[in-house]
Amino acid sequence: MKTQQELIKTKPKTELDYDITEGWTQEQLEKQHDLILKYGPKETSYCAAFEAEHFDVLVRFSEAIHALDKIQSDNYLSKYYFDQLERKYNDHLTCIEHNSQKIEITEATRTEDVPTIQGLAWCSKLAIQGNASSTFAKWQYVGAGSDDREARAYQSVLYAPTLPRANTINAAEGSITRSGESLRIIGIFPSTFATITVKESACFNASTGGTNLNRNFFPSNPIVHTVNTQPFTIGILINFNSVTRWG
Amino acid sequence: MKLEKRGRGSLDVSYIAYFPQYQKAVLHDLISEINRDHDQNLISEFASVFEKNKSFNYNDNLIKADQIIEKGDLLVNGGIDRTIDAMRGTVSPWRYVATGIVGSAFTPAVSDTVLLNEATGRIDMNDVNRGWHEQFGMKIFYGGIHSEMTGNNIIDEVGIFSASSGGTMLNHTSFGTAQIARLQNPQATMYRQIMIFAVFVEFCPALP
Repeated sequence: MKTQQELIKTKPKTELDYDITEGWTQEQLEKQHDLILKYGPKETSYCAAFEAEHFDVLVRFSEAIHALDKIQSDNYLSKYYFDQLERKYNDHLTCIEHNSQKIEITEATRTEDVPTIQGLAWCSKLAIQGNASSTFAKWQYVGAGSDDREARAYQSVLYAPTLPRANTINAAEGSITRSGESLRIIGIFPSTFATITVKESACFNASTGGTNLNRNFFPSNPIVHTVNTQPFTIGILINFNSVTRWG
Repeated sequence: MKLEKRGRGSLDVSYIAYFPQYQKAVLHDLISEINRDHDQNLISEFASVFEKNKSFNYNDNLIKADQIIEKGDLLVNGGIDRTIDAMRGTVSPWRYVATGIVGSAFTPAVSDTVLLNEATGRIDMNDVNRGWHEQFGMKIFYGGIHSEMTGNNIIDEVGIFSASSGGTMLNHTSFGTAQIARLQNPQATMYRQIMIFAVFVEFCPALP
């Protein structure tokens, strides 16, 4: 397996690639990973499969999340989505209800990983930029992959990605919203998406390459997606509040 | 801030630094260059003046504070919310440093939305000679200057705001009884020191 340093050397660079760890030793990278685990923002990701016939309602639910985001920044609909996935993950009988229609969650898996070092540095740039004209690309794309390497805060790629990434600008492909002190990212992958066992995921600032905000590894019960069967979603929740589950 | 003293999650560490008045022109040049070039090495050196109480040479001039007071406090809930919205590009960036005079120590709360006793005008961090807001590793580095002609003698609370009046507050720092009076000139209309307020927002401690 290649070390992080070897990967950095081989990864093609674009202006959207941002890595403050260049030149760090593997030991330094691991130490920084531990610091983020203990003290950094907490990240939880869900991967869930849905009934194919409920896909249209799922997209309309996503459109409602986008519409709500335009009028209030604290988005209770995206919170509801994550709450229902958590309930499903805990084996409760549940579904997402929207406009009196049900979106049945057939499977859900969850993992607790870390935001990346370069992702948090990019977040700092974005926080300074605000709504000014975009020098720095915003988090926008959700990627899925099938590699089973454990997540580390210094990983800058998905190791076995399946393209295309979900573009959250389009309601049909997901959303990026806030609820409370949490950034909530949803990527929607239609049933036509290529066959994949979803073992890794991340949010990026570019449709290919770019900087990743996080990397997740789903170690148990990964969603096995077969083309033209069920759609699935990847939900990434990053809590910036002063709460920890670690240390 | 030492790791064992650090709280969990996102936080801010604030500083009041007193610099001799004669360093003002050099500090203006330094801040202008940081605002123009966003040079990470220069920002890092300037940050170490506060974080490590170091001095450094800038254009053959020594930048060194007479005294620095550090206080690790908290980002308020509304501040974290708005920072996330700024990351999403839905709101304007943080822009103003506000200062206050309370006169005694107090414990800020995450629900705070205003300074207890704001005094003096807010410093506009978009003023390239008086303020800055820069990314620095996994941190955001905000700051502003009260010159020898402006501001009050004793400042003991600081917060970053989104607007020149009112607005949303990012953090609330109480310097309590740690603050000191600026050295004053005999004329009493100006001070012999300038004050810099620096605020570091960090999502995670970074390796030194």
